[in-house]
Amino acid sequence: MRSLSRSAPRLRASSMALLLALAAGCATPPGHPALEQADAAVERARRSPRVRALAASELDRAEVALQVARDAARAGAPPDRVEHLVYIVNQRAALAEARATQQVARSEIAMLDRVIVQGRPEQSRQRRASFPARDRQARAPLQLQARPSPAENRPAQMPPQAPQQAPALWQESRQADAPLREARRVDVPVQASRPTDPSRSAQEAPQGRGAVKESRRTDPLLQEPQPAARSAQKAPEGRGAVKESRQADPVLQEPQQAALSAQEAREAPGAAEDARTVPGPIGAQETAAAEPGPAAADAEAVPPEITLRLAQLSFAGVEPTSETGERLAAVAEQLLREPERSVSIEAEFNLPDPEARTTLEQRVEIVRAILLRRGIAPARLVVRASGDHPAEPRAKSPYVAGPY
Amino acid sequence: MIGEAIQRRAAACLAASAFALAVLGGCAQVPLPQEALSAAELTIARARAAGAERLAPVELARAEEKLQAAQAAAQAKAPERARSLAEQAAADAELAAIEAQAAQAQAIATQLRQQVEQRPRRVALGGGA
Repeated sequence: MRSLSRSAPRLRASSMALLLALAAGCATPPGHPALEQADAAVERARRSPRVRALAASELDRAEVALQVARDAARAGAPPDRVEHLVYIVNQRAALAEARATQQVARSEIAMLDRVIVQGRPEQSRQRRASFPARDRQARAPLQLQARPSPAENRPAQMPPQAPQQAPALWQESRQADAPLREARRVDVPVQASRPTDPSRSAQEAPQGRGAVKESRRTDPLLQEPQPAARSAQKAPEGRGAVKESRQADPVLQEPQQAALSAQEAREAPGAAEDARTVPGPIGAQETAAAEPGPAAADAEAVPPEITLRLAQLSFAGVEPTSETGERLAAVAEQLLREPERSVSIEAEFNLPDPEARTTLEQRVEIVRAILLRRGIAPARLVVRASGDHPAEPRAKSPYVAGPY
Repeated sequence: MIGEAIQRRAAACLAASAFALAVLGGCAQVPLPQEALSAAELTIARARAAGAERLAPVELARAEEKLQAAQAAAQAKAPERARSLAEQAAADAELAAIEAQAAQAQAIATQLRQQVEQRPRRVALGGGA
């Protein structure tokens, strides 16, 4: 009887100790060699231009997995759990690479098919290298209006090395990718935030833009920065150069060029056009953004801050769903296009349930990480509790009944 | 007296385990093992359909091994381990599927390339486009 009553407090003490250990684990960020290796694997994939261009969504998944693994390690999850998450990160990184390989092979098939059907390999190869307007027209009717004049076109058409098979393939695969991205774009609400008038802006479209678009095509791997930079300089008013703002993306490898294009981007803020809007045709959106007049006016009219309400994004556990991933990608693109704007991630942190709060914090962290990896400067990212926002009616509990 | 002590002990146990579950749940939110298991099965089936058996046998075998281990773990009432293994199996199978597709595409590309290279060069058929 005595032993029974004594065992109760001892049990309580030991369970408290366990809990304290768990809670303390949540605060220590340990150095984890396997995690660092996985980080390196994702970094490798991220650095590969073909992965970035052809397996963007797989890359995003790898990034998310990495973030989850990092969070778990930081939260002091048991070693085998971290190990498991690290394994997933590695597999995701490999998946992104494999996907890019597959896409390259597919585009090669498409090219060879065309060669076989046409029976004139030399000509068709040349044709691909020069990307006639007709090709683009088929893919992107709206872009057609921005077709460059032949004179503008020329420098971009001729990269220093004669277009070999590999670059040609690249262009192909980007094309193949384009409709997909375009389709994805359609259901992204953020894009509509700016009124566009494609037909009008197309008429007024400056010539330089087309040239730069061309240059990006002929210079797909960004491995030869010279031609792109050259044609960017040729583009009037630095507008074309802004296209290169993709290279201002910190993940990219060409720092000099990043500096150059960032500078030029500053010179023409209204036209700031994010080149991350991969090859393809985003028609109206691109056209509108590239046009200095209305775009500049809009920039003044729109609120400088884009608000991302966490309660309106869908998640599976702490991982963003693909829909959320797309939405974030769109926001990142918008931010890269409009350098004067910032983004605030809003969440209702004032939750009674500690578990829900932890999940929420992890979600915010992941959203933030995704935007940062997409090249948004940390200074442009604010995390805000929804209560802080004066204009924001306080949401009761976004997780119990989301305001969908 | 004994009854009271037992009751107290039980209450303490309950409270502690509830709190521990809450803390653990906050640290790691994971889907149910059953879901993970069926997801892995589905992914493996897809990989097979993509020809992984022939084109990415190593990855596929790894996925299948892990799925079996996951099922065993689930039966042995180790849901956490079952879930992890199932998730890994799914990741392996997905990789196997893509690798198989990539290998297939590369094989076709090689074939086509040979076809193009071996073909006698025809001179100007006229109006190729």
